Amino acid sequence: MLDVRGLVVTYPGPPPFTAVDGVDLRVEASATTGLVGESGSGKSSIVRCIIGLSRASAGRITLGDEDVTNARGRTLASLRRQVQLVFQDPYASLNPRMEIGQAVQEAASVAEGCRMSSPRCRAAAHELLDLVGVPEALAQRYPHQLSGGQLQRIAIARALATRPRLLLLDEVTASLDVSVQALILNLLRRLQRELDLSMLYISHDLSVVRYLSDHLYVMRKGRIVEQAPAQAVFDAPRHAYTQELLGAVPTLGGNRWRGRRATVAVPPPGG
Amino acid sequence: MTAHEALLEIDGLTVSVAGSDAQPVRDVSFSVGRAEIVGIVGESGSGKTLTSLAIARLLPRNVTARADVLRFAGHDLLAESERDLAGVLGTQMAMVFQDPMSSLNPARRIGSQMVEAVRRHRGLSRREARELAVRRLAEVRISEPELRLRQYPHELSGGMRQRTMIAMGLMSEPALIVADEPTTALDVTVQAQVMELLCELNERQGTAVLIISHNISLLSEVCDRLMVMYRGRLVEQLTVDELLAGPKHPYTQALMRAVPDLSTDRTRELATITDGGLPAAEVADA
Amino acid sequence: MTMRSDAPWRRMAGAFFASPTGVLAATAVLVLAVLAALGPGGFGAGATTTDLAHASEGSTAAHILGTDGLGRDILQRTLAATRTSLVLALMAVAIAVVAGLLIGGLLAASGPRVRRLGATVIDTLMSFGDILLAVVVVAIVGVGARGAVIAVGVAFTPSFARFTYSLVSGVMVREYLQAARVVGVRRRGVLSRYVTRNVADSMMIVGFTAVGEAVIAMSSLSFLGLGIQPPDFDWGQMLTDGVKNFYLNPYAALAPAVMITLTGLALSLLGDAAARAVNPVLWDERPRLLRLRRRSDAAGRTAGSEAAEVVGERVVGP
Repeated sequence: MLDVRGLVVTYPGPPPFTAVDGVDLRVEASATTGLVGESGSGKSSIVRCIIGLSRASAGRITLGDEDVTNARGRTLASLRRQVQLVFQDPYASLNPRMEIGQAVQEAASVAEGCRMSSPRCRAAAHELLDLVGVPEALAQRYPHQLSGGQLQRIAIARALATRPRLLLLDEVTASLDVSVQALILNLLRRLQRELDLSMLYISHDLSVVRYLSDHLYVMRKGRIVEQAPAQAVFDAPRHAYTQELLGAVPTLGGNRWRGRRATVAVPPPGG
Repeated sequence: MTAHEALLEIDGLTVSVAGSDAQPVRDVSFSVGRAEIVGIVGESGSGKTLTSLAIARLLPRNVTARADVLRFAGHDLLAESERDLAGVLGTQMAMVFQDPMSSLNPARRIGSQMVEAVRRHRGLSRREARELAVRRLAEVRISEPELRLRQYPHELSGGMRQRTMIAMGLMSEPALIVADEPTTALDVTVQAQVMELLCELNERQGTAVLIISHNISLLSEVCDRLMVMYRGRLVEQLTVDELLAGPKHPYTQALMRAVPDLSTDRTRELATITDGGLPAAEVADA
Repeated sequence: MTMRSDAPWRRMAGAFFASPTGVLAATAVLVLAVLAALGPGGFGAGATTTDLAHASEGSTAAHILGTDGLGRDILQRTLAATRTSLVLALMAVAIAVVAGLLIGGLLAASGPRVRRLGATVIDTLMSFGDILLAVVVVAIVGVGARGAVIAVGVAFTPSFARFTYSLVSGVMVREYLQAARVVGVRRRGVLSRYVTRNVADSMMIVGFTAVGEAVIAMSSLSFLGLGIQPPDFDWGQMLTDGVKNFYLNPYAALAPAVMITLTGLALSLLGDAAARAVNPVLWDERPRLLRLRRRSDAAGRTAGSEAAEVVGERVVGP
């Protein structure tokens, strides 16, 4: 449903910096596409460009049949109804001076075209909060009064207000505790099922990407180095960089380091 | 191992916050032997960071620690004065924090920050200290160490900064490195390099390492022994073999299942950690 | 469903009065307001009655703070000057705030070239200094109360514009603003719910502090003979007069000086408390007049945040 061809993103300098250098990428409908890469690989620049926060220097982005490259005005508005973005750090992406209930109402008011304080808007916000599992009692809180996990749920609720078909998720669990990460990942899977969403999931964490994705792209220094069905990438990585990445992921009980060290006498617990 | 052979010995450590009943760390006891690599795993609010800061006597002023025993390298950290301990903690214990940028002074060159402590505590001359700094940077495999000494922290990459922090800690040949989430802000490939480095130091110089992390998989690859902290308490201490055989404490079990790894079943939901019907990390605010 | 059962203004008022600062500021401002309401005529005829027989006297039973060079009662005159002084200063600051917000806000919203040009112009104007700028304006609009108000207003405008410009520019690059744009929030919503709310507390502090500065700026103009003209009088003019006879009756200068200082202090406290009220992030803090600073090293911050997180935790059983 989303097709990116030859995308180049160059940030004007000085010196000019090319973050994305000729990327081809497809996101299929009702599936999760993973985009994995280390910091500075350009993966965030891609989603920012898709949603119209950065300009494409070259290339073409199409959504369905519509060309949405560097969209403006009505095209941009239509793009942002169909595609939404959830940022990495919910503390930074939610207005610190706005009650979270209001933040969701605001998004609902934009989507439904009604006043923020109208009953219709409140009902929509209520439904959205319910959908992501945030108790209504928290609606009057401000972002600093909530935990990272709850805020990320609220950010997701906001993004869902426009009833998008495609959700761009930029490292959405990177700043969360592991137990909260599990909750958010489960939530995303449930939402995908219930709302028939397509997702582009961006992360540096291969384990998480593997868990969520059907198709996977591996990025390095602005280029895609490998792409394949997710399982194939993990079972038989072809590119040396993918192999290096996979090798670097810590696994429970893996013994890259411990194994080769001489075992040290261990004192009994508490002794 | 008998008690006096332990490098770091803690019994009944409790940390409390002035003006409130909260005890973010409660009755924590453990020891770290010489040349051991030990991990503390826990989520935010588990008290793992405060535990490490209490050991290094770096707690903020409104936070106090008390313990039945708190010994490091033969020194009683409770009884001896701050001034006597400054030398011990400054030279024999090295702290490495999550964000090297916030522990390095952005306005000073790497070199002058590195030599500061050894010149004060060991009375090295400027030249001796610089030579030592170059050696240490080379040991943590930083290229062109002489150039780095003249650079400012922002000129280095994240991984390089973290290795610089470790090199800085190594200046005085510490017996213990306390690393608090040393690789959380770094890429996995860089994380692997940092772990490699810590293990190498341990092997070569017998430096004990206490690593604090939220990543149980990572710790299982590095440590001899793991301690699991949850809500200020040490709920379980176990060897990696015991961990793999199946931990006893339900929190440890849940922690292992909640994190997807490269062999997680993709068709099933992740196990979540619950506490009285609420997700553990969200209980605080609900 | 009720999303907002607890009215925001009530929570704001709660935050305002939660601190000793707020209570103190509110009391002081109330006193000033009463003095201003009683107006120039409310403190007895002594404020304006010339009595050359008792000119420049020190403290006596009849005149507690003595008299000025024309024998007018200093205490009465000082209190009587409250309304004029405050109203003129408030008007001047109002001009500066409105003009500064408009200029700074528009500048922050415009393209890079206009921004650069605007910033240069503002910086140039600021380099003249408030008083020089005010004198130039007085030369154009004429001497007197009206001239002084406009002059001080214009003189203060560049710094407000600069301040607004940098605050708004700071908000414009924040991620929550990008997030709002992605969700589709329109310009007006961005302005009212994002920009305004996030600059409000800083503007409060600066705006209220400026009122005190405006009183002083007015008195500087009076000192140059360019401010308010007799028979009208304000603290600035009294201060200028009083300084001339300082060795005969020091109160003639001290009384208005003390009022200027107290007013400045009260208003900056009010600014602090108002800033606290409009910033929900500060609502939960327990404010104190004197705050002990925590060691600001990295270790302190890490521990502080974790401790804070745990402190807010409800621990469920052992």
